[in-house]
Amino acid sequence: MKPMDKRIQSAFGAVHADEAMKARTAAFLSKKLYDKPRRLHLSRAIPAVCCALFVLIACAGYGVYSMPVAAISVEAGETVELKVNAFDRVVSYTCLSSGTETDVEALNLTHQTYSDAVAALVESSGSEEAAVSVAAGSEEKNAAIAAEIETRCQGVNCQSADAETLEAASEVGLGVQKYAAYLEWKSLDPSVTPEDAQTLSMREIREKIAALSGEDSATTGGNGPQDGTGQQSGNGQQSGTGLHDGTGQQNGGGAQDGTGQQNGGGQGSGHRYGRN
Amino acid sequence: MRSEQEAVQAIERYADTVRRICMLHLKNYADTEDIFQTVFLKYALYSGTFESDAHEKAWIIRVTVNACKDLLKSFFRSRTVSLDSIGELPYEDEHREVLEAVLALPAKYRDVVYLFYYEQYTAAEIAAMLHRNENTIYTQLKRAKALLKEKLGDEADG
Repeated sequence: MKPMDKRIQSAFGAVHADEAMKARTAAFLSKKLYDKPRRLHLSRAIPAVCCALFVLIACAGYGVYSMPVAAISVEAGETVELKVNAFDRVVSYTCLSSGTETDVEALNLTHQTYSDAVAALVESSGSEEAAVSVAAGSEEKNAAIAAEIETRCQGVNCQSADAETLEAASEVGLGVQKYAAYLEWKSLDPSVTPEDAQTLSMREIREKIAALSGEDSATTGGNGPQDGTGQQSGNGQQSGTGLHDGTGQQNGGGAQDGTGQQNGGGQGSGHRYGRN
Repeated sequence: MRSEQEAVQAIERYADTVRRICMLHLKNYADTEDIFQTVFLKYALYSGTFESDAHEKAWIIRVTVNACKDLLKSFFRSRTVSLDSIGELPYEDEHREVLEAVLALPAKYRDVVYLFYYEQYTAAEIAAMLHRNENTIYTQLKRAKALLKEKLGDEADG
């Protein structure tokens, strides 16, 4: 090797990294790369958060879907109370008339629209006396639901009802309109029980009322309303039904003497939405 | 990512090489330390596989040279480097004379001189490492040698 080459080699050979610099470099790497506590990687956290949010939203959505905002009492052969959610779907139902659960179950009412559910109940009952009461928290909503049902189900008349009446009727296993009739009947015959009303159709209850009213009328001397009563008994849906177009007397007319509860069911709180 | 043990072993193996290359380009100790951290951090994070120790060393040299150039691009620096501003250099006059002569060369010659005379790479290997033409390396070596002869005198050539 030439002398200059040796000199250059020797000169470079004398250059070394000091131990302090090597130690600091090692410490730098240790701190930066090897000593960090395990952190949650965003790439893993994001899917987990998304899943959690999805579950939360799904649960909230299910909660909203399951929450009933209206109740519809359907009296068509069997008496069924439907609970309806904000999306106009049946979320649950209760058979108020015993012995009909199996038939109603077969209709798969849950998740159907209320109008379809009412139509199914009416059709399956084959009854001509279908009566529906709606309690949806406001008159506007009641009217909207009633209109929808009457459009969907020909011949069915709807009444508005308040939640308390509906609940009271439900407690004794009666539909709203039958409950109103039962109260009217009971006012004439205090010995009547809800079970008695359960076993009778609306028509039969009306006949009972008519019979008792007729007897009362006979005792008081006023029979004029008898005709109206007779008509009513023939109708069976006098309590504020659409069949009494414009008859303001319905709400406490002459036929109502001593009854005071003719007011379209719900003890004076009902409104008729029949086709007038 | 390489393990901490691998990184520490690499520091032990190549610290002197990195130090020498830093000396050729940088003016102060702080910059040298920055380059140390940069180079060995890149080494630790390098996900590739080295075919051999020689391959690994060549990779370290290339990364160090590039890191020094990047640092120098950051702000204006003088072309010449004073030995007095660099810590921990050999105090023997003979070595200081040679190193001063090398440091007085144009920057593009210094790496070539170091890699050829000290690391004993061939011109072809140096060309591959520094991404230069092989003929260019030969030319630069020749010119560097002439300048060193001039600085160090005929006696150095033997």
